[in-house]
Amino acid sequence: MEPGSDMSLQTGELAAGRLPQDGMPRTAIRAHELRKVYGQGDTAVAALDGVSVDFAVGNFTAIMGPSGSGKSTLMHCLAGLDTPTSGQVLLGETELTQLPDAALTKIRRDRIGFVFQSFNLLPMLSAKDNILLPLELGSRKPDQQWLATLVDVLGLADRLTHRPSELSGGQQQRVAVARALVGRPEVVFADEPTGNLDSRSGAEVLGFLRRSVREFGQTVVMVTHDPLAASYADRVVMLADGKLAGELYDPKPETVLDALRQLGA
Amino acid sequence: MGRLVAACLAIVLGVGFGALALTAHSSASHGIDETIGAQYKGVDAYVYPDRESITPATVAKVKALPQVAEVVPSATAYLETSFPGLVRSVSLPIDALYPSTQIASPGTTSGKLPRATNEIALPNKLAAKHNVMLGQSLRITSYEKKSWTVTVVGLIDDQSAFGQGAAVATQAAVKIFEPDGYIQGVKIAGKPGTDPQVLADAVQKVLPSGVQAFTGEGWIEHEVKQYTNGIDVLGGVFGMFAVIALFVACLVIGNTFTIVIAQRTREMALLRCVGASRRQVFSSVLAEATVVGVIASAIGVVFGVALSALALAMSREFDWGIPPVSLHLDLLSIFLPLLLGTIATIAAAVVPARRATKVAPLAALRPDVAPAAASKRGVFRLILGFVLLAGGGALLAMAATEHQVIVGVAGGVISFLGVLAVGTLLVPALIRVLGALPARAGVPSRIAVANAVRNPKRTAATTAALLIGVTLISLTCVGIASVRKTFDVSMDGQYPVDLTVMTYDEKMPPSADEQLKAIKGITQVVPIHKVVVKSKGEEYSVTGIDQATAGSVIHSPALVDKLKPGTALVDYSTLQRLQLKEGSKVTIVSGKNTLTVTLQRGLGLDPFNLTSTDLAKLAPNAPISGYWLATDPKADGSKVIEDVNQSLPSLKELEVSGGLAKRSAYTQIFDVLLAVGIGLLGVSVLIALVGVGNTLSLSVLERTRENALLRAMGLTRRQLRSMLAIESLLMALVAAGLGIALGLVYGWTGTSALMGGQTIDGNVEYAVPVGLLVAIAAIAAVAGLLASVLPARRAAKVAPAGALATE
Ligand SMILES: Nc1ncnc2c1ncn2[C@@H]1O[C@H](COP(=O)(O)OP(=O)(O)O)[C@@H](O)[C@H]1O
Ligand SMILES: [Mg+2]
Repeated sequence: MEPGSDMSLQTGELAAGRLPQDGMPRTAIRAHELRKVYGQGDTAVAALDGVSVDFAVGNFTAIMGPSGSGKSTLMHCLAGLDTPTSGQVLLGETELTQLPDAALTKIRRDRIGFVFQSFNLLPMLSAKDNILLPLELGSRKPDQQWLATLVDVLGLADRLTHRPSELSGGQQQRVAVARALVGRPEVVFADEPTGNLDSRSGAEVLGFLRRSVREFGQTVVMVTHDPLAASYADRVVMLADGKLAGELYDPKPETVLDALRQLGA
Repeated sequence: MGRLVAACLAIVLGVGFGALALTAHSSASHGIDETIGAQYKGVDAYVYPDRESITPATVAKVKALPQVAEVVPSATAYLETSFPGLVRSVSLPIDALYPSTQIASPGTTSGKLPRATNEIALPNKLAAKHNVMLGQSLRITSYEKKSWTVTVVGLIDDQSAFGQGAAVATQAAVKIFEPDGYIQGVKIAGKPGTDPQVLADAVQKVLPSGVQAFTGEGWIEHEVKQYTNGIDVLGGVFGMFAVIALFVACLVIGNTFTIVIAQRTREMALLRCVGASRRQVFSSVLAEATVVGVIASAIGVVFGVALSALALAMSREFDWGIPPVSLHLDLLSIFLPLLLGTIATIAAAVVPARRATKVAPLAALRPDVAPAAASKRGVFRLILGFVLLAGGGALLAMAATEHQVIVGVAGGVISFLGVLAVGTLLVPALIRVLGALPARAGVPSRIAVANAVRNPKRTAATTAALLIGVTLISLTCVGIASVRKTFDVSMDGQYPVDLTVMTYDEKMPPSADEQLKAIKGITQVVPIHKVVVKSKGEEYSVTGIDQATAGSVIHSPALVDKLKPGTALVDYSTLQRLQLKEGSKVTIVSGKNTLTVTLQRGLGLDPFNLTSTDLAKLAPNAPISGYWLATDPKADGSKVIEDVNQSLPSLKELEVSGGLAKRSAYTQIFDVLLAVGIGLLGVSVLIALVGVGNTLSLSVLERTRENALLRAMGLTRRQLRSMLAIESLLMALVAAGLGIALGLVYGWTGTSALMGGQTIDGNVEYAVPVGLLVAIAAIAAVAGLLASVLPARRAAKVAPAGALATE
C-alpha cells in the first residue's frame, strides 16, 4: 500500500471540523521545557533536556529519533505515565505535572488512550473485555454504536470472545487500537505500535490510526523509528539527545529518511 | 534466593515450633528431676508400702540396721482449719518433720521450721492466699472434732514441701494430731561409705513382704516417671503438632520452589543450552534447597529456644500456676529440629527440581511459555483423588456406625488426600463460585477472580497448606464441642442438679435463698422441704420440690416430666432398701397425714422426691432443709463451689454437692484441650498464610507487566491493592470454608467413632460450634487480607512506564 495516498482527498474536508472558529488549531497537549533526569551525580542521564512542543487537536504526529534519544520518555511524560524532573505538561486545560498519582491515573483512564509495542492486552480477559477495560475501570458505559463502529472498522467482530493468546499479533494490536479509541480520549499515544508486526499487519494498524484522525478527529501521538510508519503522520517531530531536532510536515518516507540522516543517526 | 525468603519464614516457623516443643519438654522433665531430686536429697534408700502398710515396728527394725544412720518416716495428719475470713473450715494436711542431718528438710522462705508441738509452718502460697502472717494463731480440728491452737512460725517453700500444699509440724505434734497415722514411706540415710544398693538390700531383708525397699536414686526415678508419663504424652502431642506444622511448611516450600523454578524456566533452559546436564540442573536446585534449609532451620532453632526461654521466664514472673522450671537444652532439642527442617526443605524441593530437569533447552528460545493443557498425569491424579475420596468416605461411614476410631483415622487421612488430589479442580471451581459476587462489583474484582484461578495447580497447592491447618482446627473445635455436648447430656442424666446445699439439724436462715442467689454464677435457687419418715425402723427423708420451678434447676427433662402429684421419684438404692419396684404404690405416713404415691425411678436427685404440694399434704409445716441451685455454665465452677461452701454463715455445717464439681472439672479439661489444640494448630495456619503471601508476591512478580499495563489503563494504586486483597481473600476463604466443612464431617465422625461405644444409650450429640467456626473463617479472611499487604504494596510501587518500557 502506498502510504499517504488513498486518504489525502479527505484531509481538506475534515480539516474544517478540526479547526476552531478563529482558524487557529487548538492544542490537545503541550509540553513546556520538559526535563527528565535519570540517576544522580556522575551517572545522571538527561533523557529529556528542555523539550517544548505542542500537539494540535485532530492531528497525527510521529515522534522520531535515534535509539536512546528520549522518545519513549517524552511520550511517558506527556501521557502521565511518568513525572518529569521539571517543566510542564498541559492536557487541554489540565496541568499534569503537579498531579498526585491517583488523579493522574484517572486522567489516563478517562482522557488518554494507549497502544504499546507489545503486551497490550491482559491474557485472562477476552478481546471485548480488554477493549472495554478503561471504561469499566472508570465505571463508564460504552457508547454501543461507537463500539460497534470500531469493531466493524477494525474487523474484530468474530474475535470478540477470544483470549489474546488465540489472536494473531496484528489482531492483538487492532484490539489495542479499539481499546485506545473506545473512550474517545483527548489523545491516543502509541509507542512503536507496529514494532512487533509484519509489514502487512503493521500497515493495517497504521491505516486505522490515520483513519481515526481523518474520520473521527482523533488526536494521535506515535513514537516510531520507522520512516515508513512516520509517513502516515501529518507531522514528524525529531528528537536527538533529549532535545528537539527539527520538524517535518506531510512527511514522505524519503523526506523522513533525509531528515534522519541529517541528524546523524 | 531473595524469592525464597518467605519460604524460609515458613521453615523458621515450623522448625522454631518444633524446637520450642522439644526444649519445653526437656526443660520440664529436667525441672521435675531437679525438684524431686531436691525433695529426696540425702536419701540413700527408701521404703515404700507397696501392698502392706509400714508399722512402727518395721521402722524400728530398719533403724537398728548397722548400715543405717538416719530414718525419716513420712507421716501426715489430715486436719481442718478455719482461716480468718472463712465461714467454714477447709482441710489442711500436716506432714511430720524429723530431725535429720543428712536428709533434706523443707526449706523456709521466712521464719523457721517448727520445734515445739504447738508450732506449724505453712506453705508459702497457702499463707498468702489466706493472709496468714508469721506468729498468727490457727485453730486446727481433727475429724474426730478434737481441736488445738497452733502458732505459725514459718513459711515453707512450696517446691521443697513434701506433698502438695501440706503444712509441716514436728513429729511429736503430728503424733498428737493423728495418733495412728499411716506411714507413707521411710527415707533412709546410710552410714558414710555404705553403697546405696547394699543398704537397700539390707533394708529389704528386714521388711515384711508387701513392703519394698528402693535405692534413693531408684526411688527418685520411680517418682519422676509418675510425672514425666504425663509430660511425655504432652510432649508426644506437641511433637505431632510440630510435625504437622513442618509438613505444612514443606508444602509451602515445595510450592515456592515450583513457582520460582517456573519463573526461571528460561534461565534453566539457557543452562541446558550451554551444556549443563539434567543432573547438574537437578543438583543445583537441591543445593539451593539445602542452603535454604540449613540457614532457615538454624534460625528456627534459635527462635524456638529463645521463645521457650521467654515463656519459662514469663511463667516464673507471672506465676502461671506451673512449677518454675529453668531452661534446659539438650542436643536432641537442637539437632532434631535442625535436621528435620533441612530434610523437609530438601524433600520439598525434589519434585520441583525434577521438573526443572525436564525444561527443554529450546525453551530458552521460545518467547513465552504457553500454559500447560491438562496433562495425562493431571487426569490420573484427578481419578486417583476421586477414588481416595470414595474409599475414605466409605471408611468414615463405617467408623461412625461401628465406632471404630482407627478406621475413622484411616478414612480421614485417605479422604483428605483425595480432597488434596482433586484440589486443582475443586479449589478453582469454589473460587469461581465465591468470586461471582465480587466479580459483579467491577473489573478489578473480575481480574482478581481470574488471577486467582489462572494457575489451578499453584492455587490448589497454596490453599492446600491453609486447608490442612483450618481442617485440623475445625475438626478439633467440632470434635471437642460434640464430645462435650455428649458428656453434658449424659451428665444431665447422671447429675441432673448442678449444686445442692443441705443442712441436717440446723434451721435454714429465712434469707438463705437471697444469699445464695447473690453468689456470682448462681442463676436459680429452688427450696427443698423435707420431712423424715420411718419404715421398719429405718429413717427416710422425703423431700418436696415445687413442680412449676423444678425444671429450672433439674437439667434432665425426662425427670421433670416424671415429677408430678401422686408420684415419688426414688433412687435405685432406696428402692432396694424398701425392697420395692418401680411402679409400685406406697403409702407414706407422717403424723396424722397419709399420702399414697406411685414410685418412679429417679437418678441423681434426693433418695425420695415428691412435688411440694404432695409434701404439704403429708407435712404442712415441713421446713426448708436445703436448696437446689442452677449455675451459669460460663461461670468458674470451682469458684462457685468455693463461694457456696462459704455461704450462709449462720449455719455451722452445710453440705454442698451436685454435678457442678465434675462438670467444671471436665469443662476445664475441654477448655484446656481446645485452647492447646487451637494454639498449636494455629502455628500451621500461620505458616500456611505465609505461603499465601509468598505465592501472591511471586505471582505479582510474574505479573509486573500486566499490572503496569493495568496501571497505564487507569487502574489506581488502591484498586490494584484491593485487587490483590480480593485474590488473597478468595483463596483464604475457600480454604477456610472447605476446611470448616471437612472439619465438621471429620469432627462428627470422630465423635461418633470415639464416643458411640461410651455412652449408656449409644447416643452421641453432634455440636456445631458456630461462634468458633465463624471466628475461624473471620480470622482466615483477615489473615488472607494481611497476607496480601506486602505483595500489594510491592505491586503498587511498580511505575507503569518503567515496567512497560522493558523490552
Ligand atoms: N528508567 C530509566 N532509568 C535510567 N535511564 C533511563 C531509564 N529510561 C530511559 N533511560 C535513559 O534515558 C535515555 C532515553 O531513553 P528512551 O526515552 O527510552 O529513548 P528511546 O525511546 O528514544 O529509545 C536513554 O539514554 C536511556 O538509557
Ligand atoms: Mg523507546
